[in-house]
Amino acid sequence: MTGHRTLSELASPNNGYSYAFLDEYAKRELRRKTLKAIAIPGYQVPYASRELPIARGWGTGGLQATLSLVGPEDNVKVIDQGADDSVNAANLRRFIFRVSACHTTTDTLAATIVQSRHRVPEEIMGEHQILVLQVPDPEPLRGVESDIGKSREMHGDGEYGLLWLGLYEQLVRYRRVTIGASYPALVHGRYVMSPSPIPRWDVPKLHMAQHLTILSAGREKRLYVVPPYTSVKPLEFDDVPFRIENQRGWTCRISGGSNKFMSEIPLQSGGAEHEISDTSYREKLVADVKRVDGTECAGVPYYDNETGHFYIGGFLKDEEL
Amino acid sequence: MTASKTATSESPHEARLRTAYLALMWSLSYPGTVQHLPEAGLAVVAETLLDLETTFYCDKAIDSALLDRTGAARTGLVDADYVFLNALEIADTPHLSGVRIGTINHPDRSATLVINCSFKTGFQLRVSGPGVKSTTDFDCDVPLAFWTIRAQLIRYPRGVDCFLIDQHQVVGVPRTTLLEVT
Repeated sequence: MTGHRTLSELASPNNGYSYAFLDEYAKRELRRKTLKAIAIPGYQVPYASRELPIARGWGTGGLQATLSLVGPEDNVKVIDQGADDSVNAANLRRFIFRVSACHTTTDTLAATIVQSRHRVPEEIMGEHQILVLQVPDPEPLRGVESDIGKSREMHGDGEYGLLWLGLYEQLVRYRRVTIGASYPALVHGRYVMSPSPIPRWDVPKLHMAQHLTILSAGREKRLYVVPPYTSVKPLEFDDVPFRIENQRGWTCRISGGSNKFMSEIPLQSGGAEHEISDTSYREKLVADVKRVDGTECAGVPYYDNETGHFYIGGFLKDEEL
Repeated sequence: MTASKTATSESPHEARLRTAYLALMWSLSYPGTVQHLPEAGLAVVAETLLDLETTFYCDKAIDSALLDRTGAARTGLVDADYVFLNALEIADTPHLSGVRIGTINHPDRSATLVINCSFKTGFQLRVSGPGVKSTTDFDCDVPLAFWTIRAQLIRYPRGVDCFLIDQHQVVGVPRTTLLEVT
């Protein structure tokens, strides 16, 4: 049988799944939609969210955005509430590694792609880094308008009066704005977006950021983008400025750091201790303390270690809480 | 339990499309900066963006066979999702001001213009807006008449997005970019 080749030799290898799991058409569609989203900052672009081996609502939106980007030379970090080692983050990171053979890391500064649930890292991300946020509810108007078609028209008309009214009602009832996470923000002066359930602490980090932020909601089948160097203004009144969480005086019980977003650890005595929520940054602080040569591995943070001031002076009108 | 049957090595074809996409993505993210495509010309851009779900228009100067191969449907200029143009033909393209700019509720249903041009000659353009820290300059031989038409087409958030292609190089000009001739 010399000179003849069998059918299995002639056929292309059956790999079962495409590289990075999504097939070529799925990736191409996602990529087309992402380009539109970059061109219209904050506008929610509908996309055909595909089936993945994890359930919708567990990060499928962010995962699809990552899979449309990732290559073997990428260095991927996945965090869940600031932690690299939570079950959700570890599983997503392992899945992305398995289907793309990319590198993985916990270091924010070394990562090319950071996929995140509910946090923006504490260290300033640089140009050509990508932050992918998993979004459960992309529609900032859902609380005031249940009809998706109507809220689309409201976005088209820039009709955000009901959101302002909501803020005003909270002030009247509670004397302060009670929104914790998903604080609505105006992008490029046109579209109000939900920044995903990141704490208020993280919203200013998206303003005039050096990196690209892709927000993707798999269950709701929409994605939107905050391009680099784009204005992101949390909604605020002239006389009642936007405020980040007041965590002044809190000290991390592991690293001794302060002026970073903290997790509150309740004690049996009734009191509480605090830990920096960004575990990778916390570990860097611990490592820096142990170093004798004076060098530091922790990067420059968005909020100053000593004063707690945001790195863009004047952006937060009410820094002295 | 068998190991998952997943391709963990990227084929040259997929790598090519992914690097081309990343060049397009960064070119829109940082307008005015030059990004690098894996190969020269419009073909790789067409392959990255076009498939059966899309429509395209191209002018006579462009080899349409490579666009037809993507499976995308050829349409008239006013219906096309992707419009492929040659800088030198732009002045002769009729109805260019009729390309789709989306609707107020769906501004993403707009045309993307892919323009073959040269960055070595022409006018110096200064861009600012989202993705640009202060301003960025680049040279481009696209006729000034085109930029006038672009300015008239953009009624933000409605508008068109442009990719300028010179061989391996691509510059993105999304609708949010303010552009002036210096």
